[in-house]
Amino acid sequence: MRAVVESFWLPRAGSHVEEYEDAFYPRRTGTRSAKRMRFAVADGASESLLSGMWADLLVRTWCRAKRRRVGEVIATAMSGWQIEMAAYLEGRERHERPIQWFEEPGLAQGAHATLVGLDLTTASPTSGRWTAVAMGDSCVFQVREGELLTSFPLESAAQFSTSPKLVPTRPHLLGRVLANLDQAEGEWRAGDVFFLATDAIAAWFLAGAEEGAAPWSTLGQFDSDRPELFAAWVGEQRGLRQLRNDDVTVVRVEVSGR
Amino acid sequence: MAYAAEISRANPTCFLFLIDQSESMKNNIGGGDKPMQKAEAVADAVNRLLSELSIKCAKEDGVRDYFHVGVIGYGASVGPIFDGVLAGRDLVPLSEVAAQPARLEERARSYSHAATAAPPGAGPGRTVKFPTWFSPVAYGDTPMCGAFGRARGVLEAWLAEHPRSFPPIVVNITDGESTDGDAAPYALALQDLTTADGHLLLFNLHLSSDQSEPIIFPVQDRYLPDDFARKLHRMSSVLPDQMRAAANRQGLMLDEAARGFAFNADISAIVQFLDVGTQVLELR
Repeated sequence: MRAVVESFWLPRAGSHVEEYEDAFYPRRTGTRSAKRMRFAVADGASESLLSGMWADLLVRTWCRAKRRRVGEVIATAMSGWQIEMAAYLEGRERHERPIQWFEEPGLAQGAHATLVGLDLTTASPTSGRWTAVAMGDSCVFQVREGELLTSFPLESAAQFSTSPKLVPTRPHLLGRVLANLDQAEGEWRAGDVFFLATDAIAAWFLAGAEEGAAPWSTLGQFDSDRPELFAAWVGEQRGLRQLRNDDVTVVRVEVSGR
Repeated sequence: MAYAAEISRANPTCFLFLIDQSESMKNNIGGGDKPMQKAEAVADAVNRLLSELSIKCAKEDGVRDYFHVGVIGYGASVGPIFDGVLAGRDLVPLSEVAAQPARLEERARSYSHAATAAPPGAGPGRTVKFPTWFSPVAYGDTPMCGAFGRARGVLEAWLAEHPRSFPPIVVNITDGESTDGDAAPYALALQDLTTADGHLLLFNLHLSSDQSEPIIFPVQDRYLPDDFARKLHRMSSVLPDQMRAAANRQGLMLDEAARGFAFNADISAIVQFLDVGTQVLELR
């Protein structure tokens, strides 16, 4: 299958780029072709420390381990986290920035992030299967011929809250993560467009679809080479209070068969 | 819509605690597992709340200034009661509060709040760092009118600089009746302060040596044990919808007219009712 991949992202207004705590993968945009492809977005919880780093580790692990099931992926990410944390703590020591009392509980608690991962496989030159895994309120939407075919894991704008399900870093919680994980599958056809989005823009997307608008057309007009157009649109929507002020991330995948 | 302003570094809100330091705060608090002086219980609760607020707003680059915080005592005198480097200051950005506790004690872990969840491998006897910014005092009268007046002055100045913020939250903690006059008009004057997002919120915590059951965020005052509790209840703001919804998500079942009042209860939960981003509730 071939797919054209575009991604758009922006930190919340008032925050710096380095404070962006969403993550997406692959980072490279443009046309790609393979028998199997994976995509993911994740959203680091603002109430935990280093959650952007954890979100990034989750999306990378999901996308790079193409044949592994989600349980293995999360277990691998949790192990990887121990190594990243050790490096982080070593770095703090090296730079003479000791851990402060107010960081200790957060570091002990670990980081948290939502995750949605999409896996596409090929069955024929123009069709195939998709499976998706999700924890929390980052969503994947499947659009076919101008219609919203799938909305996963949330299906309405009213379902978003400030306490979504989250993937934690602590390995002993793996069993509970797997029990709480949402999974879905379906069929894709050439011409379908998938959008992976973190909560603020996913909520906007679903609210628009519920009102009969075509949010996929709006997001269809941006491309990765002109991030300023996406930024201007996000700024406008935030100003109109149509879009909650939060980090925003969208990965758009147009599948086109062989 | 009121009480919908985003709480952010560009648009912080503030917490101002008013703490009764009168002589009677030496008496033990009613209920509870072990006897404890009211002054001590309050100092503990507010120090813990400041600590939890700092932890809640801590990120890898430091504590973010979503809140400005102050603690005013009223007893022998009325004024800010921070010890150490922050002494004499009325409202302090949270990052400075976190960086400058007056003392950092090691205490045995005695409460099971998620913010102090044990790190992997920690044994049951582990200690936690317990920062304190002020100490218990119980000496003098109860000049509550003076305290409300002082709060109004401090907050008027703050509001001039933050006219669009989520309204300030004042938490008054007391065990007795005002000794410098009827506090109700002063409470009303305080609640009259507004930002573009709504009126100031005044919450009252009544501590008593009475053994009655703790009560938190009641709608009506008829179950309260005495006239003074009823009066404080009337002086308390109705919880905004958003805070009530957050409280209900965390397991309380509050009615629409629930007021920010508690009797012999721990009100530190109010920190969790304020939305500063994705909350880590699940799986912690």
